[in-house]
Amino acid sequence: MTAVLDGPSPAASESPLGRHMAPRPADQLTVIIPAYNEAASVGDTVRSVLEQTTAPARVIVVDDGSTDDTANVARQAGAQVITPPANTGSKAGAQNVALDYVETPYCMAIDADTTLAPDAIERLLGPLHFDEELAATCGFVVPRHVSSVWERGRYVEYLLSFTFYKPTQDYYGKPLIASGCFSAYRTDRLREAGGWSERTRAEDMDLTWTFYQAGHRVRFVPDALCYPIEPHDLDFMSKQLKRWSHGFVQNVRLHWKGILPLGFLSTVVGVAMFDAVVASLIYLFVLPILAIVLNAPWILLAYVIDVPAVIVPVVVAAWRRGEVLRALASLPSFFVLRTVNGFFMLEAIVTELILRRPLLVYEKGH
Amino acid sequence: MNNAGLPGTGLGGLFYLVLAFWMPVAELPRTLRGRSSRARWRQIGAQFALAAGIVGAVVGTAAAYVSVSGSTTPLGVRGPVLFLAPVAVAAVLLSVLVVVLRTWAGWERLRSDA
Repeated sequence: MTAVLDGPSPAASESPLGRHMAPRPADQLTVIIPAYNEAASVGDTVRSVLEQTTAPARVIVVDDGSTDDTANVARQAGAQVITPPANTGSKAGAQNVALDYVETPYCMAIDADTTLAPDAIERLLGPLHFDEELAATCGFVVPRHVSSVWERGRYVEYLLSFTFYKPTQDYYGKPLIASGCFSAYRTDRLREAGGWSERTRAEDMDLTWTFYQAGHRVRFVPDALCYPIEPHDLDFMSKQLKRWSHGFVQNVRLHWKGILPLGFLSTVVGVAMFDAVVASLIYLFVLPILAIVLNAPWILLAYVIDVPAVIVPVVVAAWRRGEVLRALASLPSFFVLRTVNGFFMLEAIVTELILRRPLLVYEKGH
Repeated sequence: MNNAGLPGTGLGGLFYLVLAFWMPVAELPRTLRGRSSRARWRQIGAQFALAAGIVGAVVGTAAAYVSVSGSTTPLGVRGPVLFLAPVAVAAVLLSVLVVVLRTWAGWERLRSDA
């Protein structure tokens, strides 16, 4: 059995080449949207892609065994739909099904719950088109909804990460990860890397580090914006944090020998791994135990001791977006999320490295 | 905090501060060889300013705390030492960590060459 593809073909669509004198990078782009039970959001995603300042040549939604109306919604929004014979079991698997159908020099992966700023594709493709050494580019991520504690925590986390950490990594030529929710690739480099690997639960990190080991470059494009729906409750957030934490540990284990010669990347990863372990132990054990044993509740202030350091990049990023009050109101949620994250990171380290029980199941958590 | 999804104590943050402050130094040779650009210097300026702002906010908070709380602070530690001590410990720890990582990489390279 093979996958079934239907919907408006590129030839049947209005040819982008016909509207312009010269071909644009987006005319050579296929957008891949893996989807499992995403009827509520995939329509918005497809429309936001087709309404870009430079629309892509082709939009493929992989309906990965959905039990809802995902395929119809995607088709009505204007995408081609691929239906694999059975659920592939992971986002990477679904994306690889679509990769077989890509005939353009560039392709892009976007989550089915993610919408794009109107010029996001144009901005993301620019560097990829003009710099042949680049294998991938990734954009700036901002949660679409900022309401619950978890969404607010993630909102602050993204503002901090994408304003301070990622541009710094980019300057040194090694963004830690080209986020799977919104990244563009040279199709030939992606195929050389074997597509999206299913061997870890963080296929985007795996692919990024594979590119680096092959000598390719990745860039962060801060003005290419996307808006995913982040987990709104603890149940969904737990699934996502579990997947991310296990994915990080799995990738460190898988790639460590390979990235060790890459000075900047291995130092960033080594520091991140060490810091994540120590932070998790401190948040979950050291601080509460010290506060109880010493009868000194003020020790718990250490949970938020870095507020002055966090607040500067967050407010700067929020100010650029006209969202300073929202960012300030969301700040406490960041510290809640960070502490909960510590639990999942520790669980991943114990399970993956000590008990040697790798997480094999891909559980969707938005 | 390091990146989204990775908890941190501030050690990672300190690492990125050092990296941001190092950017102008790293860019100088590139500039002298004519391989830099205004865009790169804009990026450096933005990251350097953010790093300076972070240091300013931390130092300002520490100074405000010391002036408000008087001369004695929790655990009997006095004045700015309360804030300088953890920073110094983190800086030493970070330096050791980086040296260990680079030594490890060198060792692996030697082993693979042998």
